[in-house]
Amino acid sequence: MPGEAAAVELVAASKKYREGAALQPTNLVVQRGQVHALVGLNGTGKTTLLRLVLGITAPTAGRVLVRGVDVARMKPAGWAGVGHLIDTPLVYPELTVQANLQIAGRLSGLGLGSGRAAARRLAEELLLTKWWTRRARTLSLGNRQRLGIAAALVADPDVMVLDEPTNALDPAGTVLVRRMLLERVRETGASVLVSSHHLDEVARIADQITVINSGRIIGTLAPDGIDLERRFFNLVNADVEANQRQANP
Amino acid sequence: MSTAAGLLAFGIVHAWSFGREFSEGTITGLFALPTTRTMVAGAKLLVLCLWVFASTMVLTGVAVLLGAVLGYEPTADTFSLAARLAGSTFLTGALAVVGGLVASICRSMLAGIGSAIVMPVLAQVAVLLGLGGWFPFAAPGVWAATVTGGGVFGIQLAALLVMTAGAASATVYSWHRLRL
Repeated sequence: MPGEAAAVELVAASKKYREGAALQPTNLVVQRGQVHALVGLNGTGKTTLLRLVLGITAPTAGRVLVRGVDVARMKPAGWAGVGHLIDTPLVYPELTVQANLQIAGRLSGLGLGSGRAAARRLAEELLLTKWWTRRARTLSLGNRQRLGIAAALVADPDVMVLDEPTNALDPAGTVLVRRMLLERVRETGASVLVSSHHLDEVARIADQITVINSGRIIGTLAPDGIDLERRFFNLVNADVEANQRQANP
Repeated sequence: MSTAAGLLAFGIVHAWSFGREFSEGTITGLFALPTTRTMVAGAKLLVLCLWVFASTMVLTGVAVLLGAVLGYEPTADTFSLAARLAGSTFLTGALAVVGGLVASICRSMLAGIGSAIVMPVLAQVAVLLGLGGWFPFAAPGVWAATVTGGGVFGIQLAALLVMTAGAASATVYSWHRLRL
């Protein structure tokens, strides 16, 4: 039953470009009501994995399921309730904060009235009302990123896929977004699949942490354990050394 | 002149409208939505079509007004000449759909703008080679310049409309099939 399925599931999903494999066959399950963090160094396949989940790119092999439905066969209505922010926020510089949020609401399937109300609510939640009538191009990088997060969450999604959502935020903005995500998970049972470089932040919000390196999942980390950074580098360095031994036996 | 300039101006706006999503990176935000990319591309084409129509009306109105201000007396041909200007301008705007198609296929605003620059150049070359109205990009200009109205026949107009419809359909299809 789709109602009981995991929020996101990858079944031996892989992605190969002409330049080489971006993601080796990967299995991953994001349970409902959980925050699942993907951590890894730059260029290790995190964004590719998130792109597969959203159908931005198609898997070379394997399957990707969102709420139990294969992304390759997902009907448009099936994407309702999936909020995402990958690479660049869906923010148009010449439009105001208000117009950007209302458009995001309409694209996410909200009606005219409910879209306006949701835009206002998200702007208040992410402290953007001060710039409500300002064009997005005049906002600072951090405020633009907050606007992008607001646009991704405007329709109150129950599945959120976020690629380094706090990388341009100041500490206050990071705390704000973290609190907002956790509220949604605890109050509505929403699920979050998030990639991040900030191990400290990940430790504060994640129920599960998956480590990815060279396009492969190389292990998991307990978020409540001590010295997350050391354990992360232990895993990554062990994988790098194993790869080197394999390449130069 | 209006058709050559129109092909460039309308083509650039078409290329910007579709190509900006790739150049600015907002295209990823248009995936995984209940509103499909097919609908987004269709909506862009509809808005551009309405904008081309509005621009055509304004341009024609300004031309007629300017004629009156400069002291040209209205003649029996004034209405047909204004209609010819409006028709050729609108058809030029319709052809500019190709700029959006190139930007979509190449995933680049610059490629679309490049095609908008090349289109009027090709039209001029086609006219010099004597192809005239048989080359769709040159057809509106030839039609506008032919006072007797016999330069471009119905079949040439049909070719132009088929090409425009084909380019619009291909644009929507490329957005439907798009994977990054």
